[in-house]
Amino acid sequence: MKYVLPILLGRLVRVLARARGGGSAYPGYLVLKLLPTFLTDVTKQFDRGVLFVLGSNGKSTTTHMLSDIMRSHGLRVFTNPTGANLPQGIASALLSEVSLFGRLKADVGVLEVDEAFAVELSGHLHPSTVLMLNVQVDQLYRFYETSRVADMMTDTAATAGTHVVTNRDDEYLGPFESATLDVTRFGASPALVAAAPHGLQNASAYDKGAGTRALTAEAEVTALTATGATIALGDQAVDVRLPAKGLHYAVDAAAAIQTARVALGPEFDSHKAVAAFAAMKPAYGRGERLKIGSDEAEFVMFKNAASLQLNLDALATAPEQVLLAIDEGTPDISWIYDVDFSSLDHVDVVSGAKAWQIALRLEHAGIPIGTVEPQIEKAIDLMKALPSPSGKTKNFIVNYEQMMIARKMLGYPDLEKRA
Amino acid sequence: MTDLTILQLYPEQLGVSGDGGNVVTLAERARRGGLDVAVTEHRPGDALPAAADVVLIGSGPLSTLRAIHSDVLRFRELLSDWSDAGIPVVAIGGGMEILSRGISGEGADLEGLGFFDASAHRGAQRRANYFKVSTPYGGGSLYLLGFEDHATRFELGAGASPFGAVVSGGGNGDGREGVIRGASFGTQMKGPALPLNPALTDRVLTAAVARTGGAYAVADAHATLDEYATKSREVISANLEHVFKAM
Repeated sequence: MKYVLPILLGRLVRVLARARGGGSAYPGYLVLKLLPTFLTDVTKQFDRGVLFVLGSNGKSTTTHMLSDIMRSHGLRVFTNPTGANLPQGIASALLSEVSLFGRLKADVGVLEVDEAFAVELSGHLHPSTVLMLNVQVDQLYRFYETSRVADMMTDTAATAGTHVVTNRDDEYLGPFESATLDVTRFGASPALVAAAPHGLQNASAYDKGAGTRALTAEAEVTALTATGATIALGDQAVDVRLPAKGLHYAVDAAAAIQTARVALGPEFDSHKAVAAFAAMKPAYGRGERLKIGSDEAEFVMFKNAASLQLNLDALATAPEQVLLAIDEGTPDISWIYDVDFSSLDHVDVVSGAKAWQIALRLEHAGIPIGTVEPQIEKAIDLMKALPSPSGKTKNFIVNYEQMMIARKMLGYPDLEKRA
Repeated sequence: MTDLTILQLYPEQLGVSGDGGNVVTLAERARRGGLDVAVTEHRPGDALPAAADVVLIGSGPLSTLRAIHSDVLRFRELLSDWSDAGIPVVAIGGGMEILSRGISGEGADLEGLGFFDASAHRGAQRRANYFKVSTPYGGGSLYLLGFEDHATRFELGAGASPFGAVVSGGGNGDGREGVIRGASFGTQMKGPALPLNPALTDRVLTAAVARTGGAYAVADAHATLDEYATKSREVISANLEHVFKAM
């Protein structure tokens, strides 16, 4: 009975917050205040436990992939919406699905977790498996040491119940080992990495020195195909369709498959995983295609130099029509000078509060700009007004906050709530 | 014939905060001013460079400053001699700190080059905000705009001059910002500093070519760069009080 009142109150606050048009983590915050054991109590009901997804980039995409693979094996999955990866955000997400008595009918929890809160959350959620995707230079205004972010992830991995899945090609994460845990790895073949214009964008561990130990990847991307990738699982190779273009998505897929393999054990069926990828929709704003007039807007979201570079590198040809927008959601954008924009031959509209800074950067690279329009709403109207491109695709390369506004403007509801 | 050689130190290790942008803007503005430009780079283990007309050393976290520490100490005499000869050395953030007498606090115990008469103390309250500074570098007072992101109190030696005065932001922690040594300076200004502040870039270029008897002037070809920089600066100016969630 201890659940009824906190859950009722949390739900009420949630309804009020929604009515005001906000996606708020406050309901989760409130429930955690009233019932500090809420996260533990609910998630311990999951027979298959909780899986954590950690990483600088690709958390949402991989969480989405892993959830779909688990579902394809007949499991009921509880997962958190993108960005709801702090304790209160996860509590809010649970709140929307539990019964008044704190019951939740799910077999497994697949959760993306913010690096800075991962150790704390592990204390509440006791993940059986921790997946570490990558350490890339990210949010230095927040973390200021890339090695610190790596420590947050490996400290969390050490708290896993049984399995750790890590990135062989990441200088910080690859060498992770444990005397008590099952540690396996995913990666991309050296030939693929060498062929990528700017590699995998994983941070260099200058302070650790070069690793000397050769590591094996139990799941390795060996080829990119027109619509997906080939992933070698030991002596077996599977071809999966990918929900969005790029080597980084293929690596995320290898990570998700390897994590499903260890979490499911002998139950893992690669045919089911392949079927899950075949039916998979892109994660919110990551390669997602939405209607814009008689054409489609293809969204690419980034939050730092690494994710922007990887997405630019994934472009097959310079886009016919493209908008590039960054706002104050990304405070210091000094790093735009670390990004090679040469895969763009022009940009039609530059937008967001940082529009002039982007324009300044592009002018230094000699990339012509159509219009600088800091207001995203007006910028989208400018994109709409451009004549229909021959490829019927208008590219939107945007940070998180601008993606949310643009999505809404194109008439797509706000499905995702941010913590 | 090359009119201007720009040397960047440790582009990978001290280059995650757009430090390459300072190189790009020096090169691009010089080219648009009609100069023939070469960009060279020094990496750990390379032989000491023979010559340069302007030197940039960018920012990086403590872990990478440690990684390049033994290599950068080799520059002790060279940078000092170059600067005395009028070659501008532009040092940003961690680069400025390692060029000071040393970095202490928060487990940092790094001897610096003593190029700047100052000491860096880590562990001050972390700042991540827009930044406005006035500087007398290279002529009349100039307002600089950018971003600062550090947790350093920078203590100047008795005879040292600051690079400028803080108008908005934290700077060295005492109202002053950075340090100046002839045509060389250190600053916490990011954004990066030089693209956002073309007037400062022009003063660095002027100092660099003055030594070799060359000339640099702003031309029509700079108009778009200047327009975009002006607009960028207006937006930063209007948002100086913006508070970023630094967690």
